[in-house]
Amino acid sequence: MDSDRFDRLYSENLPLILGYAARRCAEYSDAADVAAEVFTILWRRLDEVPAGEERLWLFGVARRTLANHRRGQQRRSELTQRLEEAMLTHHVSAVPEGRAAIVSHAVAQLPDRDRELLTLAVWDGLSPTEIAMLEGIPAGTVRSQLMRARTRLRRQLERPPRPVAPEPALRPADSRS
Amino acid sequence: MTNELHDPELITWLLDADPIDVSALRAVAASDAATALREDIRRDVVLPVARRRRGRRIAIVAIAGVAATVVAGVITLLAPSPAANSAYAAPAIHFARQSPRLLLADSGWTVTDLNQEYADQGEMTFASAGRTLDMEWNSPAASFFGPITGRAGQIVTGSPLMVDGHHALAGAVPGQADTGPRYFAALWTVGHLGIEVRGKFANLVEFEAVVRTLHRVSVFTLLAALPPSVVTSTGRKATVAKMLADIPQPKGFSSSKLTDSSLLLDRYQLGAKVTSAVSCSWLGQWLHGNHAERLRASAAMATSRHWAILREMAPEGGWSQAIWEAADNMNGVPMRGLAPGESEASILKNHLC
Repeated sequence: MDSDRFDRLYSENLPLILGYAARRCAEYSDAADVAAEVFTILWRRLDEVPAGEERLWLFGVARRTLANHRRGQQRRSELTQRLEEAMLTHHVSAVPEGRAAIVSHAVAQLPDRDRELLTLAVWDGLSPTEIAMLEGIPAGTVRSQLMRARTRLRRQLERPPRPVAPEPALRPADSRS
Repeated sequence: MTNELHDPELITWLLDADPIDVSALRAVAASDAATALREDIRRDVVLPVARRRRGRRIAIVAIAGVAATVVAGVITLLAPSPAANSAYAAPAIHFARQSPRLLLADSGWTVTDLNQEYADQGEMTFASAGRTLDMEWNSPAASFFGPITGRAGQIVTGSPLMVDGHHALAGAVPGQADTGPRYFAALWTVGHLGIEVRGKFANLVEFEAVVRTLHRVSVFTLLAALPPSVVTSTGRKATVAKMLADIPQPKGFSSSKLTDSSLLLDRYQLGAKVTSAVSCSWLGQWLHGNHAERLRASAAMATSRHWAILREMAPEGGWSQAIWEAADNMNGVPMRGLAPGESEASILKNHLC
């Protein structure tokens, strides 16, 4: 039954699509909105979704939905607010520490394109071929761009850490010059 | 940080640095909130249920009482004249001929999307000021409406209305709240076609006011109303010319192959084809030309960051960035991350051609 297929796709892919949106949205509420929109579109177009390609199809919809969402087409509802609350309750945002914090900082320093490619390939878990299909560009292009993104990330990590200026100590007002 | 960063290690580090906790997301997906959302989406019954084209052949008795009075005449689709025929891509004409050819009278409503998978089945989306109205049609009408008999009983209690001279039934889609903006649907048949429109409106009166303005138009009026992203043959030639307007082209470059295709393409895909053709042509000159030709090619590609079409496409995908990086490489920026055995020329060809 179609509804069985939908339920299966929903449970399998909601974490992926929520993650995709959450990594690109400033707020949980936006990510919840995007995920809700993506699965509404899935429900409406279930017949059109090619068997075996559902995951990539959903990422494609998520990508377009996110672009639209950024243009301000937001659809808030009580249910997406509940999803947002669930994201808060389950502490979806990871706080990188130690080496992860250094890597996170290095990723943040990369050009946007490098960062997006690494996000797609590592955190969203897409293969270069899938990224190419998602973006409508040749797979070879994605591979070479990914290779360069990795190289740039390596270089970023190999740089000596910048000295961080210590927080200025609070001083009594009368000691200031 | 170690100087010996191998990829598996790098990938592990990246995974550890994911700003999102994937196991927490799985917990969210298993939460009551996610279940409630799923059930709510599934209650959005009009669209998915109506879309089941290979559903049971159940006569839609409730609707048939009204629909039987529908004018029996099959829509006579006007054959386009040969001259006009040449102005549009074959798929666009095919779409228009097979569709109910209905547009909304209010010029504020425009066609934003269309889809046609089979000869007698398709859908169009109209939009105006944040509201959308989806129209779907299929043949035969009985098999289209059959699967939605479950809600027909409720819709039949809605109001009958005339749509372009045909009797239709309109009502709220069941399974929703009784107040506030909801999905409304109207169903009717025209000959062998079953037609359904649906949209989220404040109330039935508002929905019906919009639906009543649907009226049949000529094939060419419909074609003219297609969204700009659907490029007709004539439109394609002009669009390609516009895309090329600020792009320097090598001597002997011809855009004829770009304008000949009969495929319906949106602007992104067409823009990628256009910029690929030009860039590939410049690359050939850069790789195989004499010194002056190489300089010309480098200089031409150096302007690519200003090409309007690439700037337009940049937010939509990675194509523009790929061109710009290749242009940088053709202007002295060394290509980094070359794998053993890979040449700069082979990567550039792979990028651009």
